[in-house]
Amino acid sequence: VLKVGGPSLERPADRRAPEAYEGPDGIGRFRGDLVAWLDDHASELQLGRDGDSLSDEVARTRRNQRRLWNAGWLRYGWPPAVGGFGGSPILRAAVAEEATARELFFLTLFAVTEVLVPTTISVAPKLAEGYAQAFLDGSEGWCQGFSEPDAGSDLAALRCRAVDKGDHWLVNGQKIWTSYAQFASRIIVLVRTGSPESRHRGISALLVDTDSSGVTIRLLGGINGHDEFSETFFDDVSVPKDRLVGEVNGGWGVAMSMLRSERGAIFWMLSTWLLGELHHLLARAELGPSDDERIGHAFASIMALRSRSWTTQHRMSLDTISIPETSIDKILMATSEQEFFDIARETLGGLIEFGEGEAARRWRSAYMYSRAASIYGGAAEIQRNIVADQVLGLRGLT
Amino acid sequence: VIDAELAVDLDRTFAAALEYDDPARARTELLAAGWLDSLDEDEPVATAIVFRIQGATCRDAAALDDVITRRVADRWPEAAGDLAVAYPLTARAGEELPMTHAVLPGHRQARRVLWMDDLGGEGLEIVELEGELTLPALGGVDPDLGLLGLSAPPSGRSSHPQDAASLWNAALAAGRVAVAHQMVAGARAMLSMAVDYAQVRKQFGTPIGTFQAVKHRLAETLVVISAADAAVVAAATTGNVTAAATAKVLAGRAAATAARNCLQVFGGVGFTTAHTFHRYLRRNLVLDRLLGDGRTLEIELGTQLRTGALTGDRLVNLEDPLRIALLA
Repeated sequence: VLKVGGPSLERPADRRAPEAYEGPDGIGRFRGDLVAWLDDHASELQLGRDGDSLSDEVARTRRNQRRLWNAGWLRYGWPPAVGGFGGSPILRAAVAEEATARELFFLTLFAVTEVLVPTTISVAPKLAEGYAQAFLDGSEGWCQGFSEPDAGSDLAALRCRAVDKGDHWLVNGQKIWTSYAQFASRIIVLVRTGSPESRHRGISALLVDTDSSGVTIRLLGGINGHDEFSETFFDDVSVPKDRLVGEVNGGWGVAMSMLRSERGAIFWMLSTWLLGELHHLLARAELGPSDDERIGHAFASIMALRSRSWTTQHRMSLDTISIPETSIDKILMATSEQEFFDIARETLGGLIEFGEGEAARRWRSAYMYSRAASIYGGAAEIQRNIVADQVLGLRGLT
Repeated sequence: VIDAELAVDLDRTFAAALEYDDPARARTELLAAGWLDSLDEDEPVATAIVFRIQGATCRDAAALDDVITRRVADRWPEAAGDLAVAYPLTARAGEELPMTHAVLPGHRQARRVLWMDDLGGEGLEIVELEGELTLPALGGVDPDLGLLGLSAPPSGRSSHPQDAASLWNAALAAGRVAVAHQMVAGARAMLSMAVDYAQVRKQFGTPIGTFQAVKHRLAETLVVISAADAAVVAAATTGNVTAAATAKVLAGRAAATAARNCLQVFGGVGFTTAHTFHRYLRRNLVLDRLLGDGRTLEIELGTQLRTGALTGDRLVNLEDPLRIALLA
C-alpha cells in the first residue's frame, strides 16, 4: 500500500530530539546511542542468507529500513516535511555507516534514497512532502532515469522528450541503466523539454509513476549475476503537470545536485563497507607475509577514500564543497573499490574464478560489480575532465 | 587552540620567517616568530602551517626535530629543550649506505642529539655533546637540503629513557604527520607549476592544457593530493598512530604521482636544472625515506592487518571534527 500525503511527525518516546545531538560531541553521542540500540535489537533486524536473490535482498533491505524508520533512527537528518526529525545530515551518514557495518542493507539499493531525496526536497518541496516518506521508510522504491543509449557520458545529448499538453506532460523515449526499476514505484526522469539542440539548457526532471500506462521495463543481465539494471521505455506516458521536479528546463542542475548527493553519505558508507570486505578477506584467505604489501596498499587506498569522504561529510554540512570537487570523491571511490577487489582476486587463489558455493558466488559477484565503479555515476574520464576543467581551471583555454 | 583567523596570521608570520635559504638562519627566524609556542598551543594546526610552508618553498628549518622531541619530552622530561634528531635513513638491514643517519642542517649548531638505532626506537638516547656538532654533508639526491650524515652516536654524555619504544611511537606518529604535510605541499607546488605551464605552453597551435591526455594526468594528480591531504588532516585530528602511518603512505603516493605526471607535462624543460621542478622532486624523494618510506609502511600496515592487530579500527569517524584551520 502506497503511503501518499502528509508525513507523520511524532517521535518515539525513547528517541531523543535532534537538538540533543548538537554541539561538539553530538555525533559521537548519536553514534553511541545508535550502536547501543542496534546491539540491543539485533534479533529484530534481518541479515542476508546464503542463496538470497536480488528480490530477497530488496525485501530484506526494505524490512530493515522500515524497522529503523519506525524506531526513529532513519528519520534523523531529514526535515519534518518528509517525516524526519531534522538535525544535521551527518546523522544520516552515521546511520548508513552503522547499518553497513552490520550488513543490514543492500548498499546500492539503500543508496538511491540519498541520491534522489535531498535534491527533491530542495527543488520540489511539495512533491517531497507528498511522496518521499514512503521511499525513505521502505514502503516503496524509486529509481533514476538519466542515461540513454545515445546519452551516456554525454548526458546533455539526451532525447527522451516531454511535451507540454496543457494539463499534463506527454513523455516519449527510452532510458537505460535504470537501477532497480523493477522494484520501483516511481522514477525521476530527465526529459528534453527544449529544442533538440538545447543540450543542458533544455532538460527538465519529472517524477513519474512506474505503473503509468506506457511505461515498460526490460531487465538487463548484469555480469555480476544480478539483474540490477534495466532499459525503461516511455510510450505516450501521461504525467501530471505537478510532477515537475524543479523548474522547466532546470533539469541539468537537478541532475548535478543529485550526483553531488550521491557522493555524500553513500561514499562514507562505502568506505565502511570496503573496510568490512577487507576484514572478510583477512578472515578467510590463507594469507602470508608475502601478501602484506598488497594488503597494506589496499588498506591505504580505502583510507584515502574514507579520509576524503570524512572531510566531504563535514564540508557538505557546512555547504563549503562545490559540485565539481565531489568528482574527486567519485574517482577515489572507483579506484579504491577496484584496487581492493583486484587484490582480493589475487589473494583468494582461484576462488573467484573457479569456486563453487555461496562464498565464492558472493566474492565473484562483488568482484564483477567493482568493474562498474569507474563507469556508473559518471565515467572515470568524465570525472577527470570535470576536475581538470572546473577545479584546476583548464576549461576554455585557447 | 588556533582558530581559522589566527591560522591565517600565523601562516603569514611563519612564511616570512622561512624566507631564508640558509637553514640555520631560517630556524633562528622561525623560533623568533613563536613557532614553539604555537606548537605547544595547538600541535595539529601549527604543524600543518609550518610544514606546508616548508613543502611549498623547499626550505627546511629543522622544525621536524621540534615536533618529535616535544613528544618525546612529554614522557621523558630530559628531552625538553633544543635537541637535534639523528634520523635513521633506512628501515632495511643490509643496505649499504655511506652513512646510516642524518641530521637536518637547521640544527647543525645543536649541542644535544637524540639518537636511535632504528625507527622502532631501539637504542633511544640523548647525547650531550662535548663540543660542536661536526658532521660531514650527506650529499645524495638532494644536496640542496644540506643533510649532515653520521653512522654512530656522536661522542658525549648519553642518557637513556625507560620504555623507549612506547614513548618513541607517539613521537614517530607526530613526525610522520609533519613530514606528510610537507610532502603533500611539495606535490601541490609541483601541480600548481604544471597547471600554469599547461595553460601557456602551446603545441599544435593550442595550449597543451586543452588535450585530454594532459588534463587527465593533472586531474589524477589533484585526486591523489586531495586524498593524502585529507588523510594527514584526519591523522592530525585523531592522533591515531595507524592513521599517521597511512597518511605518510598516501603522501608518498601523492609525491610520486605528482613527480611523474608533472614532469611529463613539463616535458624536456622539467628535466633541466634551469627549472625549479627538480628541487621538489628531489626533496620529496628524501622526505619519503624519512620516518619510514611508503612501501615499508604498507608492508607494516599489511602485517598488522593480517595478524589481527587492527580489527575494527576505522581510523577516522564522523564525530572527529573537521577544523577549518587545518584545511589547506
